[in-house]
Amino acid sequence: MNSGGRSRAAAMALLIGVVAILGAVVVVPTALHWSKTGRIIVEARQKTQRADKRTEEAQSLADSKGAWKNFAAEQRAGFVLSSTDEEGITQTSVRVADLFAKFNGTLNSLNGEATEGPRAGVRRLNFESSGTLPRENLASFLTALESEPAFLIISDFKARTRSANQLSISFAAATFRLLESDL
Amino acid sequence: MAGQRGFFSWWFGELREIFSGRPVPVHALALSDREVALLEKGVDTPIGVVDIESEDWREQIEGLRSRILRRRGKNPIVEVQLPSEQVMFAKIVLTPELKPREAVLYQLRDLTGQDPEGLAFDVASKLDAEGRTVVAIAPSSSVEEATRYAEDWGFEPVRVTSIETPKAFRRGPELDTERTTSARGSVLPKLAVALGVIAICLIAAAAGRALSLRTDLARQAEVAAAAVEPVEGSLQDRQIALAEFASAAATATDFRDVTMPVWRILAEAASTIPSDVVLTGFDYKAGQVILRGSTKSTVALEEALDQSPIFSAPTLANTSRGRPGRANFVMEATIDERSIR
Repeated sequence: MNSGGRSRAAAMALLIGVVAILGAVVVVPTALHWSKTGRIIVEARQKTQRADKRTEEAQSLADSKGAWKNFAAEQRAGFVLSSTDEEGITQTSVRVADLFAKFNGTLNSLNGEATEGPRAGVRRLNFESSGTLPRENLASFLTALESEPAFLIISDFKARTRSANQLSISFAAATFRLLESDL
Repeated sequence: MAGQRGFFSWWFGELREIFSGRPVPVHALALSDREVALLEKGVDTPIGVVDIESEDWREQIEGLRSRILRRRGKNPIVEVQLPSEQVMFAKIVLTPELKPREAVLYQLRDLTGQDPEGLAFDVASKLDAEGRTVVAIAPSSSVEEATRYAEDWGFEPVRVTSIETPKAFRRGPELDTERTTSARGSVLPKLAVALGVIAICLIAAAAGRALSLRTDLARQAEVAAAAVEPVEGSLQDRQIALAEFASAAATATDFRDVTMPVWRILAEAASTIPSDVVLTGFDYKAGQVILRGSTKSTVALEEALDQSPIFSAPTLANTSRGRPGRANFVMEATIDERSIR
């Protein structure tokens, strides 16, 4: 290559070098900025997604809480709907007495007391009762006592023939009262 | 300062030439009194030399032409180099107020003693330390004659220069400036440069737009993230509390579902025991039932209870003679709590 060719090649190489340097000067900060904004976007989105997920979970818990509270406040939950043990005992006593009366029976005795419940947040109201009932009404009486809210769970039951048509019955039963919750 | 100016003059001059698209001769026709030489310019190697006093000198030139013609397929582009005795080099001081060529024109008559109209010349761009530059001067008639010869021989001369060249002229003086400036360059290099510049501009604009959008996006994402109000407290504690409440709320129904109701035991007893049985007592406690009464056959009662899905393991706990043909009994049985499900 003669001097003219070398000169031309040198000029071209210099141009390429300058273009490359200018490109690097522009491209490197651009790439760094691109990468930095990418990190910011990813971190911000992750934060938002985490918060959204947590909010959804909290909302789901709140919904479940509401549903359970509604359920507990309804009769189908089977609880004595009262705010105190005494009120619950009174309410249940009235109900038992009413049932005896409804089925033409006689209530002889009825005692109630509150104890610790089988689960946290639940009180157990124990009752002991005795009375007389017409023989043909025993099944209806028991069905109303056990199957209709608030449920009475009978743990001890005795029936004796008192006369041709009368039965003497005694039973021990329990019903439950849900305590107030901080939920 | 002069050095910097010289550098940029060289660089931009070279680049202008590269991107002008003008044909660059790779061969040179070197003329002298007795010989015509065809040279490979890059390596300054003669392809052939023709003695013009020989009888077949025209055929020999045609032979040289045909050798490089095969490579291009059309008249070969050449640089015509005038013999050194036809080119004069002189160092002159240029008047700064004038353009170089104008400054030289004023001095041509003094330098050559001839009418400037009949002279062709070129001025080197480099100045020496004393501000002088080199001028190459040749008779216009020699330049035109050399050009005409080259064309007659089937070459396409694109520049006329001198065989001997001072360093001030990198590629030799341009003695036929009209031919040099009028030579039309190829449009392809210019097109390529234009497309390259457009592409660079478009890429730069797209990159700028993308960066701007991404920056906006990052800002929006940050604002959105900052605006998020985190849920206070531990979700796990809430879950545990909810589970405890749910367990408590299901207490009554759970106990009812797993406890055999007395009304059902009575109903089962009524439907199971034989019709001759007269019950006088019924006790139920903790999964155990005790039946009292009288019957004709305690065995039949026991079998009947045994077949019931609710009663299991009926056992005659006590029996005594009752009215004629009947027996008083106390029958125990276990309640199968699984039958409730």
